[in-house]
Amino acid sequence: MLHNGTIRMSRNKQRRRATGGIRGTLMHLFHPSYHNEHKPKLLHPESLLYFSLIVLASFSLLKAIRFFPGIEHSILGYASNITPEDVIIQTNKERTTNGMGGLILNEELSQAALAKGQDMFADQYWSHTAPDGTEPWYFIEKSGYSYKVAGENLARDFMNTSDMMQAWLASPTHRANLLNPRFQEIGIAVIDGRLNGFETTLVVQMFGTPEKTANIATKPTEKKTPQLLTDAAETNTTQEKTGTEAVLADSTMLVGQAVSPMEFRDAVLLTPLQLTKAFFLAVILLVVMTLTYDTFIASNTKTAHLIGKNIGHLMIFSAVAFMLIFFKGGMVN
Amino acid sequence: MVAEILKHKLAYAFLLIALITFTFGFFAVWPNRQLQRILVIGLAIFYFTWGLVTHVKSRKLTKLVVLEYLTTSLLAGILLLLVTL
Repeated sequence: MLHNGTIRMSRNKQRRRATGGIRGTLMHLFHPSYHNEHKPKLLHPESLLYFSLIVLASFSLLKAIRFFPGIEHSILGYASNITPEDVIIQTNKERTTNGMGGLILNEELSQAALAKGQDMFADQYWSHTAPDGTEPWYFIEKSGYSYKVAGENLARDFMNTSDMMQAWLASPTHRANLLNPRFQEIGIAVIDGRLNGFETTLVVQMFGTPEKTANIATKPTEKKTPQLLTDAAETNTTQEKTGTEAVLADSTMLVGQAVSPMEFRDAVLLTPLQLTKAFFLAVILLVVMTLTYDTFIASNTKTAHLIGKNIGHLMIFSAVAFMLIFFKGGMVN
Repeated sequence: MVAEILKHKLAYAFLLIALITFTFGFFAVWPNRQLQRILVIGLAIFYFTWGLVTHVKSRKLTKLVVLEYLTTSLLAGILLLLVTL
Protein backbone atom coordinates (compact mmCIF):
# COMPACT_ATOMS: atom_id res chain seq x y z
CA MET A 1 0.00 0.00 0.00
CA LEU A 2 2.90 2.33 0.69
CA HIS A 3 5.63 3.29 -1.68
CA ASN A 4 8.03 4.35 0.99
CA GLY A 5 8.25 5.06 4.68
CA THR A 6 6.74 8.52 4.59
CA ILE A 7 3.42 7.44 5.96
CA ARG A 8 4.90 5.05 8.47
CA MET A 9 7.08 7.79 9.92
CA SER A 10 4.13 10.03 10.59
CA ARG A 11 1.81 7.45 12.09
CA ASN A 12 2.50 8.38 15.66
CA LYS A 13 1.72 11.99 14.89
CA GLN A 14 -1.45 11.00 13.10
CA ARG A 15 -2.47 8.75 15.96
CA ARG A 16 -2.07 11.61 18.38
CA ARG A 17 -4.18 13.79 16.14
CA ALA A 18 -6.80 11.13 15.77
CA THR A 19 -7.33 10.70 19.47
CA GLY A 20 -8.55 14.25 20.11
CA GLY A 21 -12.38 14.61 20.38
CA ILE A 22 -13.93 16.68 17.63
CA ARG A 23 -10.64 17.28 15.89
CA GLY A 24 -9.91 13.58 15.89
CA THR A 25 -13.30 12.86 14.42
CA LEU A 26 -12.82 15.45 11.70
CA MET A 27 -9.38 14.06 10.91
CA HIS A 28 -10.86 10.59 10.71
CA LEU A 29 -13.56 11.82 8.35
CA PHE A 30 -11.46 14.01 6.07
CA HIS A 31 -7.79 13.21 6.45
CA PRO A 32 -6.27 10.03 5.03
CA SER A 33 -4.33 8.23 7.71
CA TYR A 34 -3.48 4.89 9.24
CA HIS A 35 -6.77 4.92 11.16
CA ASN A 36 -8.96 5.11 8.09
CA GLU A 37 -6.86 2.93 5.82
CA HIS A 38 -5.37 6.00 4.15
CA LYS A 39 -8.68 7.07 2.73
CA PRO A 40 -10.91 9.69 4.39
CA LYS A 41 -13.74 7.91 6.14
CA LEU A 42 -16.17 10.11 4.25
CA LEU A 43 -15.10 8.44 1.00
CA HIS A 44 -15.49 4.87 2.20
CA PRO A 45 -18.23 2.87 0.49
CA GLU A 46 -20.34 2.70 3.64
CA SER A 47 -20.14 6.50 4.00
CA LEU A 48 -21.22 7.00 0.40
CA LEU A 49 -24.10 4.65 1.06
CA TYR A 50 -25.06 6.71 4.12
CA PHE A 51 -24.96 9.82 1.95
CA SER A 52 -27.40 8.17 -0.44
CA LEU A 53 -29.72 7.26 2.42
CA ILE A 54 -29.49 10.76 3.89
CA VAL A 55 -30.31 12.27 0.49
CA LEU A 56 -33.31 9.96 0.11
CA ALA A 57 -34.53 10.72 3.63
CA SER A 58 -34.13 14.47 3.17
CA PHE A 59 -35.98 14.40 -0.11
CA SER A 60 -38.81 12.43 1.49
CA LEU A 61 -38.90 14.94 4.33
CA LEU A 62 -39.15 17.80 1.86
CA LYS A 63 -42.06 16.09 0.17
CA ALA A 64 -43.68 15.51 3.56
CA ILE A 65 -43.65 19.24 4.33
CA ARG A 66 -46.79 19.52 2.21
CA PHE A 67 -48.66 17.93 5.11
CA PHE A 68 -47.67 20.90 7.28
CA PRO A 69 -48.91 23.95 5.36
CA GLY A 70 -47.85 26.33 8.16
CA ILE A 71 -44.21 25.33 7.87
CA GLU A 72 -44.33 25.11 4.11
CA HIS A 73 -45.66 28.63 3.65
CA SER A 74 -42.94 30.09 5.85
CA ILE A 75 -40.15 28.42 3.89
CA LEU A 76 -41.24 27.29 0.48
CA GLY A 77 -43.29 28.64 -2.34
CA TYR A 78 -43.36 29.45 -5.99
CA ALA A 79 -42.23 32.71 -7.46
CA SER A 80 -43.54 32.31 -10.96
CA ASN A 81 -43.64 35.52 -12.93
CA ILE A 82 -45.51 34.09 -15.90
CA THR A 83 -48.16 36.37 -17.32
CA PRO A 84 -50.65 35.68 -20.11
CA GLU A 85 -49.37 38.75 -21.91
CA ASP A 86 -45.82 37.38 -22.03
CA VAL A 87 -47.06 34.00 -23.20
CA ILE A 88 -49.03 35.59 -26.00
CA ILE A 89 -46.19 37.85 -27.07
CA GLN A 90 -43.66 35.03 -27.14
CA THR A 91 -46.05 32.63 -28.87
CA ASN A 92 -46.82 35.11 -31.64
CA LYS A 93 -43.15 35.93 -31.95
CA GLU A 94 -42.40 32.26 -32.48
CA ARG A 95 -45.16 31.93 -35.03
CA THR A 96 -44.00 35.00 -36.87
CA THR A 97 -40.47 33.63 -36.95
CA ASN A 98 -41.86 30.49 -38.56
CA GLY A 99 -43.79 32.41 -41.16
CA MET A 100 -47.21 32.21 -39.56
CA GLY A 101 -49.66 34.83 -38.50
CA GLY A 102 -50.20 35.71 -34.88
CA LEU A 103 -53.09 34.43 -32.82
CA ILE A 104 -55.88 36.62 -31.56
CA LEU A 105 -56.72 36.48 -27.89
CA ASN A 106 -60.28 35.29 -27.38
CA GLU A 107 -62.14 35.87 -24.14
CA GLU A 108 -64.23 32.74 -24.39
CA LEU A 109 -61.16 30.60 -24.91
CA SER A 110 -59.53 32.29 -21.92
CA GLN A 111 -62.59 31.48 -19.84
CA ALA A 112 -62.41 27.88 -21.04
CA ALA A 113 -58.72 27.77 -20.06
CA LEU A 114 -59.53 29.17 -16.64
CA ALA A 115 -62.34 26.65 -16.16
CA LYS A 116 -59.96 23.83 -17.10
CA GLY A 117 -57.32 25.06 -14.67
CA GLN A 118 -59.84 25.37 -11.85
CA ASP A 119 -61.15 21.92 -12.64
CA MET A 120 -57.63 20.47 -12.35
CA PHE A 121 -57.21 22.07 -8.93
CA ALA A 122 -60.68 21.03 -7.84
CA ASP A 123 -60.33 17.40 -8.92
CA GLN A 124 -56.57 17.24 -8.32
CA TYR A 125 -55.34 16.00 -11.66
CA TRP A 126 -52.77 17.04 -14.22
CA SER A 127 -53.86 15.84 -17.61
CA HIS A 128 -55.72 16.78 -20.74
CA THR A 129 -58.45 14.39 -19.73
CA ALA A 130 -60.07 14.60 -16.30
CA PRO A 131 -60.40 11.47 -14.13
CA ASP A 132 -64.07 11.29 -15.08
CA GLY A 133 -63.20 11.37 -18.78
CA THR A 134 -63.94 15.03 -19.43
CA GLU A 135 -61.89 16.33 -22.32
CA PRO A 136 -60.68 19.89 -22.92
CA TRP A 137 -63.27 20.47 -25.60
CA TYR A 138 -65.99 20.34 -23.00
CA PHE A 139 -64.66 23.52 -21.38
CA ILE A 140 -64.37 25.23 -24.73
CA GLU A 141 -67.94 24.45 -25.65
CA LYS A 142 -69.13 25.36 -22.18
CA SER A 143 -67.61 28.80 -22.56
CA GLY A 144 -69.77 29.35 -25.62
CA TYR A 145 -66.98 29.13 -28.13
CA SER A 146 -68.03 27.26 -31.24
CA TYR A 147 -64.92 25.86 -32.85
CA LYS A 148 -63.89 24.18 -36.03
CA VAL A 149 -60.51 23.06 -34.69
CA ALA A 150 -59.24 23.27 -31.12
CA GLY A 151 -56.23 22.33 -29.05
CA GLU A 152 -54.77 22.56 -25.57
CA ASN A 153 -51.31 22.98 -24.04
CA LEU A 154 -50.60 22.60 -20.34
CA ALA A 155 -47.61 23.61 -18.24
CA ARG A 156 -46.82 23.72 -14.54
CA ASP A 157 -44.06 24.65 -12.10
CA PHE A 158 -42.23 27.00 -14.44
CA MET A 159 -40.57 30.07 -12.97
CA ASN A 160 -40.77 32.23 -16.08
CA THR A 161 -42.39 32.39 -19.47
CA SER A 162 -39.19 31.88 -21.47
CA ASP A 163 -38.41 28.52 -19.85
CA MET A 164 -41.98 27.40 -20.35
CA MET A 165 -41.91 28.41 -24.00
CA GLN A 166 -38.62 26.59 -24.51
CA ALA A 167 -40.11 23.45 -22.99
CA TRP A 168 -43.15 23.63 -25.23
CA LEU A 169 -41.01 24.20 -28.28
CA ALA A 170 -38.75 21.30 -27.34
CA SER A 171 -41.71 18.93 -27.18
CA PRO A 172 -42.82 17.85 -30.68
CA THR A 173 -46.52 17.63 -29.82
CA HIS A 174 -46.63 20.97 -28.05
CA ARG A 175 -44.60 22.58 -30.78
CA ALA A 176 -47.07 21.24 -33.35
CA ASN A 177 -49.90 22.98 -31.53
CA LEU A 178 -47.92 26.13 -31.02
CA LEU A 179 -47.10 26.43 -34.70
CA ASN A 180 -50.31 24.98 -36.07
CA PRO A 181 -51.40 27.23 -38.97
CA ARG A 182 -55.00 26.07 -38.56
CA PHE A 183 -55.42 27.90 -35.26
CA GLN A 184 -56.53 31.50 -35.34
CA GLU A 185 -57.38 32.33 -31.74
CA ILE A 186 -56.01 31.66 -28.29
CA GLY A 187 -57.12 31.74 -24.67
CA ILE A 188 -54.78 31.67 -21.71
CA ALA A 189 -55.12 31.19 -17.97
CA VAL A 190 -52.31 31.38 -15.42
CA ILE A 191 -53.52 30.04 -12.10
CA ASP A 192 -51.84 29.54 -8.73
CA GLY A 193 -53.09 26.79 -6.48
CA ARG A 194 -52.34 23.56 -4.70
CA LEU A 195 -52.02 20.38 -6.76
CA ASN A 196 -51.47 17.05 -5.03
CA GLY A 197 -50.33 18.85 -1.93
CA PHE A 198 -47.87 21.22 -3.58
CA GLU A 199 -48.21 24.85 -4.48
CA THR A 200 -47.86 25.36 -8.17
CA THR A 201 -48.66 27.60 -11.07
CA LEU A 202 -50.67 26.07 -13.88
CA VAL A 203 -50.75 27.52 -17.34
CA VAL A 204 -53.57 26.45 -19.61
CA GLN A 205 -53.67 27.43 -23.24
CA MET A 206 -56.66 26.81 -25.42
CA PHE A 207 -56.39 27.19 -29.17
CA GLY A 208 -59.19 27.35 -31.61
CA THR A 209 -60.54 28.42 -34.91
CA PRO A 210 -64.14 29.61 -34.80
CA GLU A 211 -66.69 27.72 -36.77
CA LYS A 212 -67.77 30.92 -38.41
CA THR A 213 -64.86 32.96 -39.66
CA ALA A 214 -66.96 36.07 -39.21
CA ASN A 215 -66.64 35.67 -35.45
CA ILE A 216 -63.00 36.65 -35.62
CA ALA A 217 -63.81 40.02 -37.06
CA THR A 218 -66.05 40.81 -34.12
CA LYS A 219 -63.14 40.75 -31.70
CA PRO A 220 -60.73 43.27 -33.12
CA THR A 221 -59.67 44.70 -29.80
CA GLU A 222 -57.74 41.67 -28.59
CA LYS A 223 -54.04 41.53 -29.07
CA LYS A 224 -52.50 39.38 -31.71
CA THR A 225 -50.84 36.53 -29.94
CA PRO A 226 -49.08 33.25 -30.52
CA GLN A 227 -50.68 30.14 -29.12
CA LEU A 228 -49.44 27.14 -27.21
CA LEU A 229 -51.10 23.74 -27.51
CA THR A 230 -50.51 20.13 -26.92
CA ASP A 231 -53.33 18.33 -28.59
CA ALA A 232 -55.29 19.40 -31.59
CA ALA A 233 -58.75 18.01 -31.88
CA GLU A 234 -61.59 18.01 -34.29
CA THR A 235 -64.94 19.37 -33.27
CA ASN A 236 -66.62 16.06 -32.72
CA THR A 237 -64.63 15.17 -29.60
CA THR A 238 -66.80 16.94 -27.06
CA GLN A 239 -68.16 15.18 -24.05
CA GLU A 240 -70.62 16.35 -21.43
CA LYS A 241 -69.49 16.60 -17.84
CA THR A 242 -71.57 17.29 -14.77
CA GLY A 243 -70.65 19.37 -11.80
CA THR A 244 -68.50 22.03 -13.39
CA GLU A 245 -71.16 24.61 -13.97
CA ALA A 246 -70.40 26.31 -10.67
CA VAL A 247 -66.75 26.63 -11.56
CA LEU A 248 -67.56 28.26 -14.82
CA ALA A 249 -70.19 30.47 -13.28
CA ASP A 250 -67.67 31.80 -10.78
CA SER A 251 -65.15 32.61 -13.43
CA THR A 252 -64.84 36.34 -13.79
CA MET A 253 -61.57 36.38 -15.62
CA LEU A 254 -60.89 39.20 -17.99
CA VAL A 255 -59.39 38.53 -21.35
CA GLY A 256 -55.73 37.71 -21.00
CA GLN A 257 -55.72 38.29 -17.26
CA ALA A 258 -54.22 35.83 -14.82
CA VAL A 259 -56.40 34.75 -11.97
CA SER A 260 -54.66 33.75 -8.77
CA PRO A 261 -57.04 32.05 -6.36
CA MET A 262 -54.24 31.74 -3.82
CA GLU A 263 -51.65 34.45 -3.41
CA PHE A 264 -48.47 32.42 -3.15
CA ARG A 265 -46.27 34.82 -5.01
CA ASP A 266 -45.34 37.03 -2.08
CA ALA A 267 -42.42 36.56 0.30
CA VAL A 268 -41.11 33.38 -1.25
CA LEU A 269 -37.87 32.30 0.34
CA LEU A 270 -37.15 29.21 -1.71
CA THR A 271 -38.95 27.02 -4.15
CA PRO A 272 -38.91 23.27 -3.45
CA LEU A 273 -36.66 22.77 -6.48
CA GLN A 274 -34.19 25.41 -5.29
CA LEU A 275 -34.06 23.87 -1.83
CA THR A 276 -33.54 20.40 -3.28
CA LYS A 277 -30.79 21.60 -5.58
CA ALA A 278 -29.05 23.53 -2.81
CA PHE A 279 -28.99 20.52 -0.51
CA PHE A 280 -27.83 18.13 -3.23
CA LEU A 281 -25.09 20.53 -4.30
CA ALA A 282 -23.94 20.84 -0.70
CA VAL A 283 -23.57 17.05 -0.54
CA ILE A 284 -21.60 17.02 -3.79
CA LEU A 285 -19.42 19.90 -2.62
CA LEU A 286 -18.56 18.02 0.56
CA VAL A 287 -17.63 14.87 -1.35
CA VAL A 288 -15.69 16.75 -4.04
CA MET A 289 -13.71 18.77 -1.51
CA THR A 290 -12.83 15.61 0.41
CA LEU A 291 -11.83 13.87 -2.82
CA THR A 292 -9.65 16.82 -3.83
CA TYR A 293 -7.99 16.97 -0.43
CA ASP A 294 -7.41 13.22 -0.43
CA THR A 295 -5.89 13.40 -3.92
CA PHE A 296 -3.61 16.23 -2.83
CA ILE A 297 -2.47 14.41 0.30
CA ALA A 298 -2.02 11.14 -1.56
CA SER A 299 0.15 12.75 -4.22
CA ASN A 300 2.26 14.58 -1.64
CA THR A 301 2.81 11.53 0.52
CA LYS A 302 3.23 9.24 -2.46
CA THR A 303 0.54 6.94 -1.16
CA ALA A 304 -0.62 4.37 -3.64
CA HIS A 305 -4.39 3.87 -3.42
CA LEU A 306 -5.53 0.33 -3.83
CA ILE A 307 -9.06 1.60 -4.04
CA GLY A 308 -11.05 3.64 -6.53
CA LYS A 309 -9.70 6.42 -8.67
CA ASN A 310 -10.38 9.83 -7.16
CA ILE A 311 -10.10 11.56 -10.52
CA GLY A 312 -12.89 9.46 -11.95
CA HIS A 313 -15.09 10.24 -8.94
CA LEU A 314 -14.27 13.93 -9.25
CA MET A 315 -15.26 13.87 -12.90
CA ILE A 316 -18.64 12.21 -12.39
CA PHE A 317 -19.56 14.36 -9.40
CA SER A 318 -18.58 17.47 -11.35
CA ALA A 319 -20.85 16.35 -14.18
CA VAL A 320 -23.67 15.70 -11.70
CA ALA A 321 -23.15 19.14 -10.13
CA PHE A 322 -23.28 20.77 -13.56
CA MET A 323 -26.53 18.98 -14.40
CA LEU A 324 -28.06 19.93 -11.06
CA ILE A 325 -27.12 23.60 -11.37
CA PHE A 326 -28.58 23.96 -14.84
CA PHE A 327 -31.54 21.63 -14.36
CA LYS A 328 -34.77 23.41 -15.19
CA GLY A 329 -37.98 22.70 -13.37
CA GLY A 330 -41.40 22.68 -14.88
CA MET A 331 -43.48 20.12 -16.72
CA VAL A 332 -45.52 20.25 -19.86
CA ASN A 333 -48.47 18.11 -20.82
CA MET B 1 -2.87 13.84 -10.28
CA VAL B 2 -1.40 14.77 -13.65
CA ALA B 3 0.76 11.67 -13.61
CA GLU B 4 -2.30 9.54 -12.87
CA ILE B 5 -4.20 11.10 -15.76
CA LEU B 6 -1.30 10.65 -18.16
CA LYS B 7 -0.85 7.07 -17.05
CA HIS B 8 -4.47 6.25 -17.85
CA LYS B 9 -5.18 8.93 -20.41
CA LEU B 10 -7.23 6.66 -22.65
CA ALA B 11 -9.51 5.61 -19.81
CA TYR B 12 -10.00 9.18 -18.60
CA ALA B 13 -10.51 10.49 -22.12
CA PHE B 14 -13.21 7.87 -22.64
CA LEU B 15 -14.83 8.81 -19.33
CA LEU B 16 -14.72 12.51 -20.16
CA ILE B 17 -16.32 11.99 -23.56
CA ALA B 18 -19.01 9.77 -22.06
CA LEU B 19 -19.78 12.26 -19.31
CA ILE B 20 -20.04 15.13 -21.79
CA THR B 21 -22.33 13.00 -23.95
CA PHE B 22 -24.57 12.08 -21.02
CA THR B 23 -24.69 15.69 -19.87
CA PHE B 24 -25.57 16.93 -23.34
CA GLY B 25 -28.21 14.23 -23.68
CA PHE B 26 -29.68 15.09 -20.28
CA PHE B 27 -30.36 18.64 -21.40
CA ALA B 28 -31.22 17.72 -24.99
CA VAL B 29 -34.18 15.55 -24.00
CA TRP B 30 -35.59 18.18 -21.64
CA PRO B 31 -38.49 18.62 -20.82
CA ASN B 32 -39.02 14.86 -21.17
CA ARG B 33 -38.42 13.77 -17.56
CA GLN B 34 -38.83 10.09 -18.39
CA LEU B 35 -35.96 10.14 -20.85
CA GLN B 36 -33.86 12.15 -18.42
CA ARG B 37 -34.33 9.45 -15.79
CA ILE B 38 -33.38 6.74 -18.25
CA LEU B 39 -30.21 8.66 -19.10
CA VAL B 40 -29.37 9.06 -15.42
CA ILE B 41 -29.72 5.33 -14.82
CA GLY B 42 -27.56 4.76 -17.89
CA LEU B 43 -24.93 7.14 -16.53
CA ALA B 44 -24.81 5.34 -13.18
CA ILE B 45 -24.49 1.94 -14.82
CA PHE B 46 -21.84 3.26 -17.21
CA TYR B 47 -19.70 4.71 -14.44
CA PHE B 48 -19.90 1.54 -12.38
CA THR B 49 -18.86 -0.50 -15.42
CA TRP B 50 -16.09 1.95 -16.31
CA GLY B 51 -14.66 1.69 -12.81
CA LEU B 52 -14.65 -2.08 -12.88
CA VAL B 53 -13.13 -2.33 -16.36
CA THR B 54 -10.32 0.13 -15.63
CA HIS B 55 -9.45 -1.72 -12.44
CA VAL B 56 -9.58 -5.10 -14.14
CA LYS B 57 -7.13 -3.78 -16.72
CA SER B 58 -4.77 -2.54 -14.03
CA ARG B 59 -5.31 -5.76 -12.05
CA LYS B 60 -6.38 -3.93 -8.95
CA LEU B 61 -9.97 -5.08 -8.77
CA THR B 62 -10.98 -5.86 -5.21
CA LYS B 63 -14.21 -6.15 -3.32
CA LEU B 64 -13.60 -2.70 -1.88
CA VAL B 65 -13.21 -1.22 -5.35
CA VAL B 66 -16.47 -2.80 -6.49
CA LEU B 67 -18.28 -1.42 -3.45
CA GLU B 68 -16.76 2.02 -3.90
CA TYR B 69 -17.85 2.32 -7.53
CA LEU B 70 -21.23 0.86 -6.70
CA THR B 71 -21.91 3.40 -3.96
CA THR B 72 -20.46 6.29 -5.96
CA SER B 73 -22.67 5.43 -8.93
CA LEU B 74 -25.63 5.00 -6.60
CA LEU B 75 -25.13 8.41 -4.99
CA ALA B 76 -24.66 10.17 -8.33
CA GLY B 77 -27.73 8.43 -9.76
CA ILE B 78 -29.94 9.17 -6.75
CA LEU B 79 -29.01 12.85 -6.75
CA LEU B 80 -30.01 13.25 -10.38
CA LEU B 81 -33.03 10.96 -10.25
CA LEU B 82 -34.60 12.76 -7.31
CA VAL B 83 -34.25 16.18 -8.86
CA THR B 84 -36.24 14.99 -11.88
CA LEU B 85 -39.15 13.79 -9.73
